[in-house]
Formats: sequence, structure tokens, C-alpha cells
Amino acid sequence: MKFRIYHVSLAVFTLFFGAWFLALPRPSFAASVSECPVDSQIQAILSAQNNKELDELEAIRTELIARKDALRVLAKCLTDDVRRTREEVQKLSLSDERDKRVQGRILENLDNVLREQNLDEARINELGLRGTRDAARALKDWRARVYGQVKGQADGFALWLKSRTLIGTAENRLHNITGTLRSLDMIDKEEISRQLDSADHNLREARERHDAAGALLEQSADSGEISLAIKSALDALAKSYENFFTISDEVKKVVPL
Amino acid sequence: MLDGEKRIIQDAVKGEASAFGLLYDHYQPQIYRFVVIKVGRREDAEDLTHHVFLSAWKNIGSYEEVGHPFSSWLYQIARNLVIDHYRAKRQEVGLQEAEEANLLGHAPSSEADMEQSLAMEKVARAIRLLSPLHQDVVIMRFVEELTVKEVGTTLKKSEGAVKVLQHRAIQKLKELLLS
Amino acid sequence: MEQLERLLQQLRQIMPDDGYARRSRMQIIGFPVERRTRLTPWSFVMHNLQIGSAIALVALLLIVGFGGFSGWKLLSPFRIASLDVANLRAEAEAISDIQVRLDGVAYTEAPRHITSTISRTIPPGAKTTSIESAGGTEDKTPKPLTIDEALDILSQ
Repeated sequence: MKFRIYHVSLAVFTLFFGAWFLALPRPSFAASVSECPVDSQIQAILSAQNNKELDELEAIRTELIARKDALRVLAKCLTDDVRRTREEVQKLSLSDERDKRVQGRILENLDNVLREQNLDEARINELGLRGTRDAARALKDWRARVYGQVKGQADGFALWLKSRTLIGTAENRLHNITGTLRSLDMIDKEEISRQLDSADHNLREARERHDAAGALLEQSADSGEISLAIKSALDALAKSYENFFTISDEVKKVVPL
Repeated sequence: MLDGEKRIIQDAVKGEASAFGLLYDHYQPQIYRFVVIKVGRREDAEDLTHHVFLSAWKNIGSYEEVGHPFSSWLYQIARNLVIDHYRAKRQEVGLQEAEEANLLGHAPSSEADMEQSLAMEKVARAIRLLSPLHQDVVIMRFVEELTVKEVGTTLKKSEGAVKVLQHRAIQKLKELLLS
Repeated sequence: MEQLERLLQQLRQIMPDDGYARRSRMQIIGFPVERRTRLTPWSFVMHNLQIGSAIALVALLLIVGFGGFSGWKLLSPFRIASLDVANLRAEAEAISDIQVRLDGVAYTEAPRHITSTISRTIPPGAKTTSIESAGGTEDKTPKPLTIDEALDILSQ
């Protein structure tokens, strides 16, 4: 009775947890490619450049109009991209004050990015052919240098939150596995005991490294550094799953699963 | 007291870790404060507070709520562990650990903040110069704002005795701060 | 007295470090403890029923374990959920999924095979439905340009 009640409840718990976990929406951040419907304007630029029927002046004038049109569309796309990132950060599920602080800082940084993006209609109108090239180059550089960092922090934050959920899941799993092994009276078997200790150690490592990544997020550190720190936590977490698989194999030798 | 605390404690007594987790979340900050003011070092306080809750979790089966609130039980464990901590320190002859200067755990962000932080450190140091019983009364009554009854239950004293202790403790504290 | 009381109340600002609190909590609630119930007549009966059932179950497992039994997989109530390989695999895959996404976090939108110079070699009137590379792209499906690809073209 004890065995069945315990394991049916474990099965229900794990099914619920597994279903919930698998149903979690995947974070959309890292997959976004920031497309922009500027093809026709670019096409117009190429056409102007290749149209032998136009004289030189006319070709330049036509190309300039097309370039300015392209910049107008791109300016809107840039702003929309930042706003989309901002919305995604706002929608993240947070747990505590620290999460809110990090979210607040990233939102502030994104607002600064929006303010800095100053390619407006008036500026575009003043540009000549060379000016449009320079403006595009400057925008590209700014986007990589400034927005890139903030977006990296936003992406990192979303993945850090998701990692935290995974660590919590693994900690619960270790707790449940320990209980199961006790019920099966296998907890003192040498290999199993070793694997449990190792899993416990790996999960503590994962938690500590995850906390360290959280500290980097709070400091608005470089997004590459944040990413590395989260990966380090996940490496430890992955090791704990190796322990779980080994324990599962050991148990299967005695109790077919 | 936590909402639905009675039920949560019952679940914790049955061994439900998540229930104990709720109790931990609610009481940990105040137990930590109690300990850190008494011992003066964050690191020691973290260690002791951890052991308070570990001891509580291990022994929760023996907790019985008979006119004896859960918080009082935690404070009693904390008091005992602090006493043991001081006993152990007295045996370490010659080792004098400096008290930590920053109980808040973060650097003050402004001059006003700095002044407040220094004033708090001064009061905390003065509290540590009181007798252990006076320390307990001051922290529980004035920092954590527990009732006279709650303090009495924790210290196993009558409400009248707590009021007298409180009065003497504050007088002593004022003398220490003025000197 | 009021000033002293105010100062004492301010000591409530002392809080434990978040990281320490999280770690401590995890370690404590992860500490295995026996489930306990207060002894009532019902719990006494249940307790003995549980012991009896546990003994019977162990005996059954021994018989089956030694005797061999091919129908284990059918005995779903006895599946040990916490060690279920399918669940472990799903969780492990979720970890890999995030690791892969983290590789893409450093903001680089690598341009696809896009013409690196705006070439004047495209014949007049040539129909192109999308921007295709001078060097030829593997993927013939027209894709909208990304912001960085468009900026790349415009900056030349």
C-alpha cells in the first residue's frame, strides 16, 4: 500500500510536471531574425544603378530616392525591433525582487536604445547619396555595438529564468529519486550512493553558477560573459542528469522499469 | 504569523518539504536578523541561521503547537545555537574576530544612507553589550515588534517579567549609547 | 526613547543575502525526512496495513525477480516515475535546447549569402523577386532581408 500510494502520487506529480514543463513556451528571443520588408526599396536601388536608359544625373536622383525610402523603412524596423524586444522582456514571468531589478535595468537600457535611434524623417531628407551610405554604416555599427549588447542581455535573462526552472525541476527530481530509492531499500548501495552524492554536488554547482550568472545580469555585464556563465551552470545541471540516468540503469538491474 | 500557518505546519510535520519551505521563507529574515545582531558577523549569522532551520526541519516531528507558536520555537532554537556559538568562541583562546562593520551587507548609496548605516551599526554594537536576555527582549520587542506575550512564551517568562526586562534593557541601552 | 525606538526599527532593514538564502533553503528542504503522522486509531490501522502490504509486495517482487516475468511493462502502476527514462530524456533535452540558444545570444545576425557589392552587372530589366547573391545562393526560396543585411547593402 505504502509503495503504491507513494508511486502513483509520484507518477501523477511527474506527469503533471513533465506536461507543464514540455508545454512551456520556448523563449522566442534567440530565434528572432529581425526581418524587414525593405526588399522592394533595395530592388529599386539596384534597378536605378543598372538602368542604362537613364542619364547619370537621373540615375543618381532615382537611386537617392530609393535609398532614402529604404532608410525610412529601416528606421521603422529598427524601432519596431527594439519595441518587440521590450515587450518580450516585459512579458517574462518573474519570481522575486532581484528578477524585477534585472528586468527594470534591461527595460531602461532598451528605452535608452530607442532614444538613441535618431534616424528620423528630417535627417533622412537632408542626406545625399554618400550620406545615406554613411548613415547605414553608422546604424549597422551602432546596432551591433549598442543594441546588440542590450538584446544579448535580454536574451540571456530569458534563458537564465528558464534555466532556473530547469534547476528547480532537477532538484525536485533528486528529492523524489532519493525517496524512491529509500522505498526500494537501495539507497545504501555503493554505486547508487555515489551517484546520489555526485548528483547533489552537481546540482549545488549548478545553483551556485546560476546565482553567479544572476549577479552578472544584475551588473549589466557583457552579454557574452552572461551567456558563458549560464552555460557553465547548465553544464553542471547536465552532469546531474548523467547521474540520474546511471541511477536509473542501476535500479533497472534489480527492478525492471 | 503566516496565513494558514496551522495547516502549513501540519503538512510540514508530515514531512512535506514545500510546506516547510513556506515557513522558511516567512521566518528566515527575522531569525537571521535576530542572530546577526547578536553575533555581529554576517558569515557566522548565515551559518547559525542555516542550522536553526535545519534543526527545525529535522526535529519538526517533535513540534507541538500547544500555546507555543512556531516562531517562538524557532527563536528558542536560535537562542540555544547562539549560546553554543559563544561557548565555542570562548574556548578558542586568543582568537579575536573583529565584528563586521556592515550588517546591511551592501555599500551605502548616499551620504544620508551612510549616516543611517553608521547609526544602525552603533545601536547593534550597543545591543551586543547587553546581557543575552536583554538582547533578546530588545531585538524581539523593538526590532521584530513581537508582542509581550510572544516574547514571554519564547523566553518562558511572564508578561510582567518581560515588561520589566524591556524597561531595564532600554535604560541600559540608552546609557551605552550616550557613553 | 522615540529616537531610539526609530533606530531599533531601522534594524529591520538588515536582510540576509538572497543567494545565501536560496542555497540554504534548497539544502534544508532537500534534506530527506521521514513522513510523520500523528498517532490516531486510523493511522495505527493504516500503518500496520502499510507494513503488511509492503512485506507482501517485497515477497512478490522477489518471486517475480527470481522467477522472471515478462509483463513488467504492462504493470503501469508500478512504473517508478521518478526514474522514468522518457521524462529524464525530455528534461535533459530541454537543457541542451537552452545551451544551443545560448550560443546564439551574442548578437550576430550573420548575413546570408547576399551580394557584397551592389553590382552593376545585373542586366537591365532583369526580373528578380528577391535579392540573390552574386555568388549564387544554395537556397532558391526568396527570403525577406534582415535589418542588418539591408544596412549592409545600403552602406556600400
